[in-house]
Amino acid sequence: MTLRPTPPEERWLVLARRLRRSPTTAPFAEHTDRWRTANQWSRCAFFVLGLVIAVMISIIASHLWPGTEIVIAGLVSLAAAEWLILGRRHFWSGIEEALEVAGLTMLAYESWGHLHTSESLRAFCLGVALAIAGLRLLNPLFTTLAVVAFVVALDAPPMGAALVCYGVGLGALLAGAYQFRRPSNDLMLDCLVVAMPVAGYLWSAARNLTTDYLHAGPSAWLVPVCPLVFAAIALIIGLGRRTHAPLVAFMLCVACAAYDLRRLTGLSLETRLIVWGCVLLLVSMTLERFLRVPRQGITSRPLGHEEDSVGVLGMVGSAVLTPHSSLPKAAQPLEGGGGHFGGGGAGGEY
Amino acid sequence: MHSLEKELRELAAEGALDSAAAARAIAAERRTVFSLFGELRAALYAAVALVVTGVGILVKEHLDRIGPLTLMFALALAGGACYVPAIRARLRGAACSSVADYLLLLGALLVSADLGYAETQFHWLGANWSRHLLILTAFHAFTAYIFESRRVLSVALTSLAGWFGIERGPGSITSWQLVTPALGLRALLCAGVMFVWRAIDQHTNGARFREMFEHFAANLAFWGALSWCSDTHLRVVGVLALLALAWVAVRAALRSATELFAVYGVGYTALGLSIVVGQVIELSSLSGAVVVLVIVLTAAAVLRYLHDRLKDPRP
Repeated sequence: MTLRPTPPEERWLVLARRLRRSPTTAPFAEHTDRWRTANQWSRCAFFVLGLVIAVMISIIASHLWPGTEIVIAGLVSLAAAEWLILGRRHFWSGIEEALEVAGLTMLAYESWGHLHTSESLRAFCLGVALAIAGLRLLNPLFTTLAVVAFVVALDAPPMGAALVCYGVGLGALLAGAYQFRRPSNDLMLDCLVVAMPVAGYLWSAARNLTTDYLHAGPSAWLVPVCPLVFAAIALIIGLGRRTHAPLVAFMLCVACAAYDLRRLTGLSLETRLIVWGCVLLLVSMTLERFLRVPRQGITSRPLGHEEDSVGVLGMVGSAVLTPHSSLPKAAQPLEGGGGHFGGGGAGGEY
Repeated sequence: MHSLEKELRELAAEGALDSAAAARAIAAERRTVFSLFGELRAALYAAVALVVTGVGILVKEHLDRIGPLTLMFALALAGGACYVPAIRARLRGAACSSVADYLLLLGALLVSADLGYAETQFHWLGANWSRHLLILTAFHAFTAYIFESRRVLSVALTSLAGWFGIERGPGSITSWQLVTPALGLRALLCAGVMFVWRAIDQHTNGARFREMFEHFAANLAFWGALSWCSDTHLRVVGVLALLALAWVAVRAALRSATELFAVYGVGYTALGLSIVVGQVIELSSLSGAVVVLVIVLTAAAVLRYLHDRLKDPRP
């Protein structure tokens, strides 16, 4: 019995997911030792169901064992998660991840509740719980959240915490050059590369909302300069190694810097949005056209079939951007689709 | 960095992967070929979102300074210009590139904003003002079919939902009313219209947009049933509708091997039943928590069964 998939098993599980094959059927079954995973949508659904189960367990425990309900609910959730992993061979299925992280968080909560600890020690306890869950389940989301919790636990001033975040991001960027046997280790580093510079920017910008950069000192310029420096390094490394996470970090860091320097031009919000939107559109169009023919292997064309989740997200994205009318102030006669709202409820206010 | 080249070679040697697919996958693993398709698409979406948000604020804030006719003309011109790359591709007989498709989306959104604005300014349709959403639905559907654009069809379907009076955003979560009860009938009617449209699409267009209609209709129908579940008088009807819809969704999932429909069927049903339990029994009571726990455990077991069945198709 193994506690989790071995590195070779994990590689075959990832390959099965990439090729959209079942890990429990031939030829993958002989390499994956009956480990069962779920695809993206199911994993999300199972994760939510797992969280609800953990909450219901804690409510039931509060009735049956008042006073110790959190500890009991935490232990029961943990036991259920471990049974799913060890007994039912679930890994990256969502439900065992939710139960494990909920159980460990409940135990961490109980610890700091008894110790009457400071905020930084609470963050440390939470960080430890998330780190254990992340390393046990090889989950990049939990490990990234754990790192953020540890930065909170440092209780450093905003710029100090921000620099720590950028440092961690940079460390992850450099560590990405190492050849890992487990794909999940790569994912953990990728998550840090993307999330930490954004966290660093948010930390540094939190108390710097109305900086007038035309009259600000050099220290204030650190806020937009740090993400720009990180973006430049990430772009160079991303293009050099041909990996996606540094390029995503580059895009996010540029967006952070652009947002922070929004007052520099003196333009109104709508002008800035339209101008920068058009600039981004032109840059994307030029790049897309330029890379239609691969340049040194880099292309703008897709390499394989689009994932289902991407197609659905595209639909949702378009629907979200569609202008919506608000409800009318006065009720209007029924028309079309029913209801005593104008035109079946659509409003006319713009 | 990691590379699954060794495993891919093993698969190809076993004959589980054809040589062309294996060569493509190995090239991607070695990074001799690297696609920026995802990054460019995200950038294009962000660009469209920025421009549309900017235009929205412009229309709202600077109406007096610019004047309605100038604004309408400018929006129409900008929207029309966005259709040009797609029209040129169509005239060449080529498929739209991703850039042309996003420009088409931007054009559709600008046209929507323009017509909506014009209607609020000039009241061309009078008391029937909301019909401008139907006009937009027809226009966007036409362009979506002409240019084979899923994104523009999304805009058309959202405009149709808008005409039915379906708003975005949840109601009061604290009172277990995720949506207003009045929404139920309208959402179900809208879903019904989309299913009819899907049937027509299937006969006339080779079902190229089938998934779009099914996802939109399924979500609308489930939200409609949920709204009935949250209403004291319609609760029973809501639960029956929810179970019927879940059966249809699960059948669709098994038929089309699309797991997301199974997630809809199981997830929405568990949510609806939990809403009913939350209203009938106090959720924080022992019995309430036990019932919800049973519902969620059953949902998880059913979803796992469906997931396994969809992953391992039996002969």
